[in-house]
Amino acid sequence: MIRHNASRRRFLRRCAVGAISAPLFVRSTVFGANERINMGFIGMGGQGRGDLGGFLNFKEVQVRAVCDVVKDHVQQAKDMVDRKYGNKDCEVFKDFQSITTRDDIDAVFIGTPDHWHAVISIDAMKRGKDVYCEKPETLTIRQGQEMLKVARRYGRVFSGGSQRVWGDYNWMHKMIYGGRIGEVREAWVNVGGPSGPCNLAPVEAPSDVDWLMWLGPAPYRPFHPTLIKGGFRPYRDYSGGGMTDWGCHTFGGALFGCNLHETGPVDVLYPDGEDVKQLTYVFENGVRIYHGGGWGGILTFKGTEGEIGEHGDRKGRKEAPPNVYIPNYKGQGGIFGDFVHCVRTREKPFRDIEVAHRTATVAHLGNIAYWLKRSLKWDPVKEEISNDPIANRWLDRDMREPWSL
Amino acid sequence: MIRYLWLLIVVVILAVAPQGWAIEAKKWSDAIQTLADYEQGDSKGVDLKWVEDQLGEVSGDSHLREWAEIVVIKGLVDAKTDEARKFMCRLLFTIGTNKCIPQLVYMLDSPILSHMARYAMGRIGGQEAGQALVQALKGPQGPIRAGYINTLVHINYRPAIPHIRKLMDDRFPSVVIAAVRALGHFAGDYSVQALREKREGAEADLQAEIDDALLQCAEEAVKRGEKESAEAIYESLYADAYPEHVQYAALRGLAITRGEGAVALLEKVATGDNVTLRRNAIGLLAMVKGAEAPQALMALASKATSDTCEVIVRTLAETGAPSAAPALIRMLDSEHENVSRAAIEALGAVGSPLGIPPLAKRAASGPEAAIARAALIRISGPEIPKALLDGARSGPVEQRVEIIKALGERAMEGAFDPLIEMARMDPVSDIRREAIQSLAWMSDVYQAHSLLALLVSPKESDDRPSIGRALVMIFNKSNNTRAKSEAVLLVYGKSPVEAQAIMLDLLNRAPTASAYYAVVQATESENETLVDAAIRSLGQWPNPEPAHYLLFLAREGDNNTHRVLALRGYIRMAGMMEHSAWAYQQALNVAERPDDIRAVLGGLGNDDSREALDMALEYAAKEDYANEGWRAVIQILEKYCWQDAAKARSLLEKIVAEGPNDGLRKDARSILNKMEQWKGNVYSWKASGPWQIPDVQDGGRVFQTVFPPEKSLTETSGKWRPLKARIEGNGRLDLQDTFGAIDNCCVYLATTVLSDQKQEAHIRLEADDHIKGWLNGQPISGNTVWLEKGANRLLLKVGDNGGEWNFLCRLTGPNDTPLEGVSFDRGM
Repeated sequence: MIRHNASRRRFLRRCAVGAISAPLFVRSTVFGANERINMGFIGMGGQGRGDLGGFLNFKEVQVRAVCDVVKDHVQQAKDMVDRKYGNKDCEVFKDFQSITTRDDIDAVFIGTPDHWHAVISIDAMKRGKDVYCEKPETLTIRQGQEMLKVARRYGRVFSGGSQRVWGDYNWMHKMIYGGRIGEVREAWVNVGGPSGPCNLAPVEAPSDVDWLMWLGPAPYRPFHPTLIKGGFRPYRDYSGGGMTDWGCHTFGGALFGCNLHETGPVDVLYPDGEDVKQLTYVFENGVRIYHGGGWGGILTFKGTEGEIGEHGDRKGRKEAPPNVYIPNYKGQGGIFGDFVHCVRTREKPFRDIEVAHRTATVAHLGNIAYWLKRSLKWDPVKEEISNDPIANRWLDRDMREPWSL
Repeated sequence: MIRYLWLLIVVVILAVAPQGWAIEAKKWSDAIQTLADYEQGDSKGVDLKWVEDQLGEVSGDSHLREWAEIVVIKGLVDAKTDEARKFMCRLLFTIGTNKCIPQLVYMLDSPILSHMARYAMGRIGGQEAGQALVQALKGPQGPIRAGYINTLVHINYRPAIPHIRKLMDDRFPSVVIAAVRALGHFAGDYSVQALREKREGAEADLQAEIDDALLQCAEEAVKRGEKESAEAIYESLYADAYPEHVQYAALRGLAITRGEGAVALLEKVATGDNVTLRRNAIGLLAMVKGAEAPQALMALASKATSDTCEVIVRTLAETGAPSAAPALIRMLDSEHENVSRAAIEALGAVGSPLGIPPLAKRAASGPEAAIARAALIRISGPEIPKALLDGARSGPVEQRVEIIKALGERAMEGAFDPLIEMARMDPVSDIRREAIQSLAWMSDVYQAHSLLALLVSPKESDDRPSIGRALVMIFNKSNNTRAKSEAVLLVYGKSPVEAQAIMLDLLNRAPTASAYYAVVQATESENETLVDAAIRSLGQWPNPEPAHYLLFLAREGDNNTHRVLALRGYIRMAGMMEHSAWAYQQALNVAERPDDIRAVLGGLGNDDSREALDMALEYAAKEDYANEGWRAVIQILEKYCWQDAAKARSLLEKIVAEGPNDGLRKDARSILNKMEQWKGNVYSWKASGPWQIPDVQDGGRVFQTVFPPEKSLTETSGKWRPLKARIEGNGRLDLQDTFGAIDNCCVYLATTVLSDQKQEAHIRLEADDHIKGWLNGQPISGNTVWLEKGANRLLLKVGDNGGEWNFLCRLTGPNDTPLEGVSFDRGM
């Protein structure tokens, strides 16, 4: 019981860290109560259009332009915007720089495939735009480091697009931060595995798709329709696979629950068939997060005094969580509302770039361990793999010309 | 000739490759050769993922890596298609060294292959790669050249700087942008000068790139400790001619480089004409260490509008300066919700004792109560503990209640004695009860004696239920039954009846022999309240020890209430007893009222024996008990079906056809489906364990240790209990659900396989983490076993390292066909 008190105390004290954040840069317009945030939307596939619909519900937002390399995607997006505003004003573009270089755009939404996220985010932030970027926010660890640096340099609001960390897993977070399972020691994240090589047979690119622009910084390969229809996730050039796709939600939930969302693991243990049965992240305070396993669905937590899963306890009971306040979304309307609020107030959003980068880093490290089939030692301060120069090579990849960060 | 030379090298290296990898090595090098004709979508039968997986493994061993690089270089030389060459570059990305640079250099000029050559070279780095890329800068023009620059940046090849500077005037914008970014990366005075020169007359897009590069140069100067150089860059960019976000970046840089020396500038900007920078200056004051910044912020707050005020509040919180508390307290009463809410959070962050009363007031009521409570829990600082205790002792009651609540949540050191005092003496009942609740949160079993003393002599007798609940919370946190029992029994005899009644309830959470004796004694008390409490306590005993005594009381008790209480307790016990069916039969013998009989039938459903099934069927046939009887039949069949599938199936099919209602028919059908789904799995077990070794945290070692059930492989000596485990989605039985989240342990599972003939069977054992088994005393090795005619004893041992713990035992005929004439009896 002494242990219980001590751990609980430590946990509450830890929770104080990062509970409040100073504002970032404030724009000249300062967004008065009646002023609208002009947004440009880049990447208008299924996810992008879904998010566009969400943002269109905010009276504080005015969507000015939409952009996609697939003509049909961008036309559907324009129709949505024009229908909403009752006019034909929404502009359409194929090149994202037509949006990021405009002075009348305050913020951009990025819903492209993962391999574009860093290039567009950094380009937009360098030009004074705030950014809402769908998860996985990065394709490599170095991309996240650069995005963080640029966001801080210009005081930009950057919100990653993982609505699940709070939206889906907040019951667990309230239970944990309320001390119901004692000090959390382990978490299991049940998401898909890493991406791999792409070997799709070439198909002639249709005339309404700018294939080279879709590839952007990724290595050249011939067109294949699967890739533009959301089927790019299994392939390493464009994504980290299930590890970064749902992983950026669920590792995010695990890290937030363990209050480790602004640091990283010190060891990534590759399964050895003996003591290490599944990929295991070990943190400096001894907390372990496993890829796979657990009984609680997509996410399971085990503390010194109990266990919980996505759907409640082991018997599926979901007791009312303790009345504990955990800083989460600001404003109204979930993660979109959080971003809109922060663009106006210049506060850090819930999925600030640092949290997004740290979360994605966990997923990327897992991928590197899987790809190289060995354990890694990670220095979360220097952000480098300390025991394996070969593994360090995987922190970044050279982009296809002319793209760079 | 060269081809043969390569082959010779490969053969030689294969010969020296470590044994164990050699076969895969051969297969791998063959795959690389096969891939010479690779085209997207046609990998010539080679699994690309396998090739990469093998390479990943190889890359951890310098000897094998060297070997693999030679194979890949050969693959690159032999490649007949661009896709093959690009794939080889992907492999060299991981394992390439200077050895492969000459082959990669050939590809640099090719618009199709250049990127993938850089893809590998960018990871290899070093002088050879740098020189090759610098040389390439003189080659083809256009975006391909931008690629060379980008890779020179990645490998941080500083000798390239003069070459790159020349390209700032290239006719291709992408090359110019790459050169600008590169100079920003390499930084230094040389780069700064070049960038400044280039900015004059540049287009707006390029100016944005140059500004960013200059800011990078400044950041690098800060890192190198060259603050003056950095400051000079920031000062030059902090001018009206630059976009506002660049001015912000420069102002931020000045705040970093000048420290407290920047406060005057930031204050001036914060009251200046430029609205953007005015507010930004406020945020940047949080970055400045020292006392001056908070003072400046407080001065600004006094004349700020509501939006600005919120920014100031959050900035003050970021500084963590307790001196900001008076200003923050004033802002709590702001008419603007955003400001008052921010002030509450900020007070929790700055850690001044002055913040405690206003936070407590807001925690007590109003829409911001939850945030204020969180702030009270979070607030920290050297003066905070004393201030919290002072606030808990005096002030408005509702505020004291909130502070006491926070003390419990914080489990604050030094708060125990003051809280006990409040719980004992405070004249206000709300305060006493909150103090008691907080004590429950923060106390351990060794501190329970203070609460027990309070239970004996509370300020008011109405406090006792709260104290009892608090003690239950504390007892539930500890497994130390002896400490709990001794703490209660020490004061039990000298306590008033009201306290004793609560203590009797506590004793079933501390089930020692002494505790049991004390509770049994209380059943003979002349005081009805005590007898009542004692029987209830026995009914909640965590093991079946009181069962026979409860049965006796149910039969011979003095009054009807006690008899009913005892019977209900006994029914609960019956489910825990070894021969539970017999126990339920005893309960039925004693039960007189229809409600009592129904209660027994309700418990009977937990059993899974043939006897229980017969009993339930008997009552199902009686009109008055048909509902409860059939419900028990279904519940029993849900478990019994794994013992005697044939009998269960015949009964279930009968219920499906003729069952008295839709619900039962549906349940019966569901059980039949489950039987079909898991046909062949053995789910009827008794268990012994979990077995552990004190202080041993090695599940493998525990599993290797021989515990008593393993010493006699044909006898089921020792303590066994029926295994009532949940079937997981994969058909395995969840042991963690049954035994709790115990790590580094093992359990023994036994059952008797009754076979009507000698027959060959196929057995499959799986477990998370360890499993082994014995059939009729012989270790099970392989998948084939022989069942003797009659009884066959099957014993399993399942170990756990940690995390999930489950197992599967599947017994079928050869070729996974169902076994004929087999049933299971776990023999409880």
